[in-house]
Amino acid sequence: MEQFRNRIIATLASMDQISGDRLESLRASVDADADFVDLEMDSLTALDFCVGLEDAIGGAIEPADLVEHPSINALARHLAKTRGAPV
Amino acid sequence: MHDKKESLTIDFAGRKGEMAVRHWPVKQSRGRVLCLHGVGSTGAEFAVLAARLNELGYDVVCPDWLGHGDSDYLLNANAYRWEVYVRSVVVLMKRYNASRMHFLGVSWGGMMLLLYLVGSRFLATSATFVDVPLRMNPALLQSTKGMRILSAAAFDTRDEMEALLYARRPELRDVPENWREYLLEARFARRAGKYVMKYDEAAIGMLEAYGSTQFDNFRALDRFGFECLFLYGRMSPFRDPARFRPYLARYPNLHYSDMLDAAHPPSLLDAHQTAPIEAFLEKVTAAIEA
Repeated sequence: MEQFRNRIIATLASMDQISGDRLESLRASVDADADFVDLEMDSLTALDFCVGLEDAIGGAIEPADLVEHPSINALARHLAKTRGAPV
Repeated sequence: MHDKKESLTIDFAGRKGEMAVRHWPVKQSRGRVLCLHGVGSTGAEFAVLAARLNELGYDVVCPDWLGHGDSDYLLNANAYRWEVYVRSVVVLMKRYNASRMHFLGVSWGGMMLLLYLVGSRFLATSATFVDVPLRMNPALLQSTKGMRILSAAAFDTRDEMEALLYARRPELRDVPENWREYLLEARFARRAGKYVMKYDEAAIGMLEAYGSTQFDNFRALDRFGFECLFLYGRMSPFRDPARFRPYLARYPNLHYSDMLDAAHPPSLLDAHQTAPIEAFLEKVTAAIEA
């Protein structure tokens, strides 16, 4: 799960649409269980995140996955459960 | 009307909903067109266009979004999140993907199409967006007021229901006679002895929620490497030529027309309105077949 969690955070940190305090706290891993909704991503940013995460771990990530697994840890747990190790 | 009724299951957050799909097949297809309707409408609204496209050799697939027409109602505004609509297109594409895949989305259907195309990175053959706002526009919220009036209506007779529908959408009176009954049947349902519109009022809530955000999806145009037509009626409040201009200058695959002689929203229910779409598809297909 830790590998997925790190890739999720790295993907978020690489997105210039997510900035300011939220990004800083993500980089510091202080707030690593942030809910995606708290990141205030608009729909295109959420899609960019999904696309970025697909590139980082392989396979398809849909925006609906972020709703069903609404925090960084929840998504990492889901990915760890349903997939092998990240590519 | 030669359409086949099919059904697909959409699974979201442990809940399942059946999505009804109207499929107008052709024997030898020159391409498939997936048509996505707006909030408060149904896939049946594409019947006239589908007949025209069938004549030109295109296979046509028109789902009823969840909460509309013959699809399941989820009865909860939160269940109609944009993410669920995008997932619905993902499921549709697992079933209906074709080697030449054209998309057409009207209004909210086009907004969801745009998000699907960005998220899936699907290399479409073409996409046509009809009356689709690419950024926040107060007219989007204004349009939901009319939908709420219709969705709250319940009448003892179908004539009364028709009268209200025509008062809101006068252009529907001009639908060719041979299509009218098919379209009205798709629009109305009988519930508790009353005639009502065939969509879930809760579905309007999510359009209102999305329309209330300061969304600006123009940057999606940087991602589309396929032929795209953005079509607006002359009267459309969603016309946005100044914002489109730099993208049109940069990307020759993007096309824009806001001269469609149509009511707002366009109904695509007569040959005059379907003609630009047919011409666009034929141009794209001719380039492939050359």
